[in-house]
Amino acid sequence: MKRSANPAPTPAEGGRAVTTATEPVSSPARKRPRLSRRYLLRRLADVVVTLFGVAVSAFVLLRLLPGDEVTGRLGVEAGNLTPAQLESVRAYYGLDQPLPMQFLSWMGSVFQGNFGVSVTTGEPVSTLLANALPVTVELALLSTLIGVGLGVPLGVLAAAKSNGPGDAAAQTFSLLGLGIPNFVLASGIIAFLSAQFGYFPSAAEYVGITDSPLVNLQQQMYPALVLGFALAATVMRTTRSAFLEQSAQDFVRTARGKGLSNSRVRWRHVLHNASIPIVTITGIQLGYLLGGTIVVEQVFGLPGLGRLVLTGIQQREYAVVQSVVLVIAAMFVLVNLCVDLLYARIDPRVQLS
Amino acid sequence: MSQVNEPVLSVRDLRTVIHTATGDAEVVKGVSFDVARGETLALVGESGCGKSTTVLSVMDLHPRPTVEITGGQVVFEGVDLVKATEQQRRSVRGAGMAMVYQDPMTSLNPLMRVGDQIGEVVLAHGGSAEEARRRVGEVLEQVGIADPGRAARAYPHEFSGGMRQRVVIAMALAMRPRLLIADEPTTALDVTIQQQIIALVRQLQADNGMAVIWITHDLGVVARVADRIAIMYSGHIVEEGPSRRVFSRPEHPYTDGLIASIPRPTGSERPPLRLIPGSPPDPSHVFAGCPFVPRCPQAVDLCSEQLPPITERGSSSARCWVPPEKWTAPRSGGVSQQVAQ
Ligand SMILES: Nc1ncnc2c1ncn2[C@@H]1O[C@H](COP(=O)(O)OP(=O)(O)OP(=O)(O)O)[C@@H](O)[C@H]1O
Ligand SMILES: [Mg+2]
Repeated sequence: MKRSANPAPTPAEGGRAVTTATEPVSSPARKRPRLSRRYLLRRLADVVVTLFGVAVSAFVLLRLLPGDEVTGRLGVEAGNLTPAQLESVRAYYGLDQPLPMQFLSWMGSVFQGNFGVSVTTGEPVSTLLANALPVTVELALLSTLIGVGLGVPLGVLAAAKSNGPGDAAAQTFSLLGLGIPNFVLASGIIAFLSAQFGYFPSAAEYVGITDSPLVNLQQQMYPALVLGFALAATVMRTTRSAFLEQSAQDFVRTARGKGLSNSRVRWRHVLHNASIPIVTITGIQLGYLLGGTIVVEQVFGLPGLGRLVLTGIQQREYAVVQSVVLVIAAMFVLVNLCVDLLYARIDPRVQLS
Repeated sequence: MSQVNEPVLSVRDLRTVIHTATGDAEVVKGVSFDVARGETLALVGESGCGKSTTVLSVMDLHPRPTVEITGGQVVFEGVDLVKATEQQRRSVRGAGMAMVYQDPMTSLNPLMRVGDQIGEVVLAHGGSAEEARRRVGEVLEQVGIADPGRAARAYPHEFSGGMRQRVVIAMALAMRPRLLIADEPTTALDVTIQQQIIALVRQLQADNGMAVIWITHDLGVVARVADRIAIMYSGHIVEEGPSRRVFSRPEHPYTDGLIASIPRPTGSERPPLRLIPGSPPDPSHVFAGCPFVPRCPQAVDLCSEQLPPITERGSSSARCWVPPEKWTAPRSGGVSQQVAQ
């Protein structure tokens, strides 16, 4: 046999007794918990401080606007009241109190779950919120779904075929998405729908999702497309650059070296590692969308938070605006928390502490 | 073992070009070598001479379209992979031949459990989930990891460098490859761990009869692992032969210089460390003659005019115009015999 065999391993080199690496993998018992109580407490403190800050700012900024709830409600008629009458109306709404007192009494009632009453309609603010919030949340979630569902595959396609025609097409798409203002796209869609199909998205009364899911979806679909288009452009860009960055990593070569299919390498290895920046950007955008989109809600006649806050400001509805702002801030904080938890889910190295 | 003489891998005139913004560079310039069953071939050379590029061409792991194989054959178990379909190449990659990479800190996916990363190889080559699970336990044990069950559930960051390299080796072993390519698998590790990894690969080789290509620029390691040595310089294999023969009677002045620069244990009576003066040429540089000329103590006029052909001398072959008998400058050979054993 002309087989060039290895010289037998000498005892000095270990031979049979291949050194068994007993070096411990840190045992689960000793592992620090990924989600610590300290972290939760810190986040809770953050929430309290943030919401308090937002409440104060909203309160002060509203009062910097000329006029108040009374003039906002009565409009020019306020001028017909005698000063004494005006004063008694003000006192009725508690506007004669010093500002800090007004603030404290508002905060106090909010803590008891009472957001106040609309001066114009007499409806409780909590009812207004309960009507507007689902509209905005649904729109935000639908838009995000469209944005991510479109943006991520396009970004992967663009990166995988980088510098090819597919990439160019995806880049053009993203430029359009970022460049076309919402109201232009929205008006375009409305013009198209009404001219081609005689359908006026903003004409009908809004129908809640529980009343008629289909009609509701039809009403939500077009505004969601407008917002989702812009979001898709942002997501696509982030996906593309993160994907390209991760493609160059060593572990991707390892993955290819195993004989995996291209699609498995792309989706399981590269995209997974590229997902952190995608989650970040999506979280930020979702936060904005939950704040209500004044223009799109207005154009499509959706009675969401954006609209509520807009009319609230116009009519100096202190209680309404302050409450909406507080709710928006709370949702923002909540989205941030979800993003953090998602990081920890994606990346085992992330410690929430 | 009917085909002992048939090489597992036979590379012929392999050429690899890197396309860069500033132009093309041929980094592998017609490289040929064979690896037989159970044999260890060491691929040795200074940094940047094209060792990694060569084996990545063999594995077809280059980023496309930046790096391109422009010619030659890579015959693995009778099939020329350069001409084969992507499908065929993929079925060989990770199964017939597998690779261990230089830096274990970056060669594992940080977000995936170690067991899943190993099992994935089995699944990719048609194994069932059950087989994959079983194999993960087996190979982790084979590479000497104490608690395979727990290790499989861990993530890479929970391991040290040496342990991660064991994981990478386990991954490479998952499909019982006939050829293992180790690209400087120990350079990122400390000395004790290095010894362990070297011993481990040798043990596995003795157990499985795998062929191994071991890339290194450390001739001290080569002396311990290699049956045959191929010395690379500037994209060429400049000398190739049985390990002991190359150490005792180098046929190329570059090999001679490399041997002379092996660090000696302190207090030994051997000549002091002598490094090759100068540095290797840029890979994009095109020479009319032998690329080693600027650093070669033995060079004659002919050397800078024409690239020397590969000349066989006994069991060795070298790409040099000047045979050792005609070397005029002092040489370091002979002494190095002790290094070999
Ligand atoms: N993707 C790439 N893009 C540009 N240049 C590259 C690329 N890959 C390799 N090179 C160049 O090709 C040459 C050979 O590189 P290679 O990695 O094969 O060397 P090596 O012998 O493995 O060196 P080392 O011992 O440092 O690993 C180097 O000059 C390197 O700069
Ligand atoms: Mg290398």
